[in-house]
Amino acid sequence: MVTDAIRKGANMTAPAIELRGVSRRFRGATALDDVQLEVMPGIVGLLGPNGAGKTTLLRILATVLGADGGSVRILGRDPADAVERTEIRRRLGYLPQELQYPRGFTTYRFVDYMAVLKEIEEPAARRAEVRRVLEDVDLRDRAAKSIRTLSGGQRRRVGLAQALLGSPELLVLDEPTTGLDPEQRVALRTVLAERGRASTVLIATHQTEDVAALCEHVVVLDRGSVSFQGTVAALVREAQGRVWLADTADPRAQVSWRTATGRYRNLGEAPAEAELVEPTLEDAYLLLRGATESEAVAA
Amino acid sequence: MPAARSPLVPLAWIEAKRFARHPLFLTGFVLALVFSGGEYGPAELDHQFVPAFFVGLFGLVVAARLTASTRRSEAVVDAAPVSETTRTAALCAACLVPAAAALIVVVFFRLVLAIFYDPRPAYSYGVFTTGERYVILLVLPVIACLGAPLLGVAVGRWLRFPGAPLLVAVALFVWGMLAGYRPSQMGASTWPARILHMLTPYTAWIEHNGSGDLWVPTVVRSLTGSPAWFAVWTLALCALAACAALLHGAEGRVRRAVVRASCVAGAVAVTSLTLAVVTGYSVTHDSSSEGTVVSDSRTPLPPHP
Amino acid sequence: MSASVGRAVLRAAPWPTLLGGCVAAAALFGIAAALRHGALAFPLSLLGLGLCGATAAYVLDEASAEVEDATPTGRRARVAWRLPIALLPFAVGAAAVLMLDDPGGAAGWDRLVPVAAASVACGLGVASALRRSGRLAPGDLASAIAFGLVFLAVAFEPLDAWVSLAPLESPSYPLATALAWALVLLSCAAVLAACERDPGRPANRKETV
Ligand SMILES: Nc1ncnc2c1ncn2[C@@H]1O[C@H](COP(=O)(O)OP(=O)(O)OP(=O)(O)O)[C@@H](O)[C@H]1O
Ligand SMILES: [Mg+2]
Repeated sequence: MVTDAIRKGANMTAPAIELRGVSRRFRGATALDDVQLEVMPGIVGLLGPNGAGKTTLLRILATVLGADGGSVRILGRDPADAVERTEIRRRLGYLPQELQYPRGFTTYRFVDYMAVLKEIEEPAARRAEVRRVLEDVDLRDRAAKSIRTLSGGQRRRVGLAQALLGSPELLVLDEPTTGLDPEQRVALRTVLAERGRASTVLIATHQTEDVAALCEHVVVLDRGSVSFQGTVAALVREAQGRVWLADTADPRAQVSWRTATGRYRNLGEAPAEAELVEPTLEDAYLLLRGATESEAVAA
Repeated sequence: MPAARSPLVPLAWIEAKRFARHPLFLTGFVLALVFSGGEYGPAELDHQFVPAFFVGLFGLVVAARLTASTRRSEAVVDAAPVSETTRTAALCAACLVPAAAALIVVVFFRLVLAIFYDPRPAYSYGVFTTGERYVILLVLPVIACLGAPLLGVAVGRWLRFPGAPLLVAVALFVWGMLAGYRPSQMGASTWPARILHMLTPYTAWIEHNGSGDLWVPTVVRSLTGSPAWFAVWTLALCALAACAALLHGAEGRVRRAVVRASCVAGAVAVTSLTLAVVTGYSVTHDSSSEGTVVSDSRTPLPPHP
Repeated sequence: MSASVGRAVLRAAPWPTLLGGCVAAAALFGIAAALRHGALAFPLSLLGLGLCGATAAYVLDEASAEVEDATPTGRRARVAWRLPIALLPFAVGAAAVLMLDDPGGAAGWDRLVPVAAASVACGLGVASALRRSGRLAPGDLASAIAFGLVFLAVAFEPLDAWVSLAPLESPSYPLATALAWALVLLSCAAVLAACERDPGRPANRKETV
């Protein structure tokens, strides 16, 4: 796989994505505001509450939406330039948050259609590539079925299959695991982990366990700007000593909830006598959210 | 425990508001008012076309789109305790919005005529009595603007191919046009022509030799049929359209009730259609300033002098 | 642009809808031909011409445009492959009015050929404008709007003081009629060119090609 990356010319030391002061407004709403971001090759998780601007950011990175201001460089190229944009698209796989399929297409025909658009022209190579990605998402036996007749999770996997076509250098996936069963999620993690060794994979998700299982780096977006960027370990480290279990919901905690054991998991500034536990990525994310939230209230 | 209130009324309100705010409906409504702001063409009895087209046919497309718009969220909506029949009934109730709009249009037209224009010569209303004139000008357009959107709801429920609402609206338009004007070319007093002239949700009542806004007709030809029974027949068609819409997804007791209602509506439709053909005018009459004579509809009207 | 891309793009067009629309329009023209000497033939063919435009409004439908835009086959290229499909409803409309034409008669049906072209252009223009606003498959709505626009324009002749839009009899202002339709065609082409630009271009800056 690494040799594969070298052959394709992927540079594993230069940043795959560089954003400087990127903003994007929609009528009345600022979706992205002065985003600074540098993403190195590997698997990166993008977290953030609903409406934080994750989808907007990923659409800009997928070159289907232009930024209003700031500079964007993707795989060392500028998407503002038509020629370079096409070059980016030759190296790109994209799964939008919501993907509609044309009427009357079968799974195979749709993925094959996308393969043609991605300039995989030689018929035999294209057939092999389509089979490979359908295998990756475990849809080989559904290839001849009309997409309309697939289940929700299977339809999602058709979208994933087309994103994986051509082993792209940059994979932009917007909530890829929604609707997938646990087995499929694990299978997808395997596929993505494999891809992450040779290329850049950016995953927006609400599933912190997926990020914890897959990603080395994590970016947290909040109200259109980056509120955390670093390794997953660093984010978790920030929550060290701030998660404790108690028999009641602690009023001093920022967040607390009842766990399956009947005890309460409390996040925040722990009291001295607290029974501290190892934080998870979810704890760390919630603590970070709590901090930015109270900052916003103070402002 | 308080008696559960039927969700029909709040749902109907929601659908009615969606209907009233739909841009296509508003466009049609405004155009209908604009075309009623002056004399419509040379003959007043032709004005019924304006609300029927702009509010009725536009309303068909709007109703079908509103009905189909929940299709995307079918999975959630179908799981709600409110049955599909209730939701369809709410949509059908919302069709009172275009009917009310049609009423506004026809009343507006009457006001404009009363305030700004001199009365037309009596012969321009053909042989129709005052009562029949009011049926043609005030009642039939309102029924048409109720029925076409009801058919739109049925289309939204049953026909899922793209473009279905537009296609049905065009088909309805062509049907009304052929039934309205074709019989007089076939010889309006023959039985097939008299039946065809009534066997339609919309029909024409006069032909004339006027043209544009300037040429007031010198001869007006009244067509066959009975406006009053035609109104009953089109009302029965409205009921049939509503039943067709309600039948989609209905089960058990509700289904049986809907089927029974359609049978009743069907019987009323057949009876009133028969009466509209049999008791109405059986021949065409030409009216001019010199008086009214029975005419052969196949002889063309004399050209405008 | 390679032929295989063209084939794939063409195959992905909503053919059942397009062919269905053409058949419906042809059926209307058929009725018009059957009644060609009556007064109904003209309004029936206007409806048919409206349906040609409504059909053309489906040509640009791409439900999965969000992923298609992210491929090296950009939106312009796909639209360029798709546009010739619109010749199909145009051909139906133009052939029908030419067939209805009776060279000796007073009515010049062939004068409606520009109406067929403008109707199809209108369908494409409306669909394209709706696509710009974020609807990926705007055909259903665009066809209703285009049909309404075309039919209202030719059936009610709102500008008849200056120009006759559907001049079956010899028009009083032939130049104005030609100009009006040329204007419609040009503005639809402009809308198409403006709205089918690559959505990935930066919103404010000039493209640096
Ligand atoms: N096409 C659009 N038109 C108008 N506003 C938009 C559009 N797309 C996004 N927005 C706005 O931009 C903001 C960010 O939206 P975005 O979809 O990027 O959020 P997100 O982080 O992906 O949320 P989620 O987790 O719910 O998917 C929201 O306030 C949204 O309302
Ligand atoms: Mg999102």
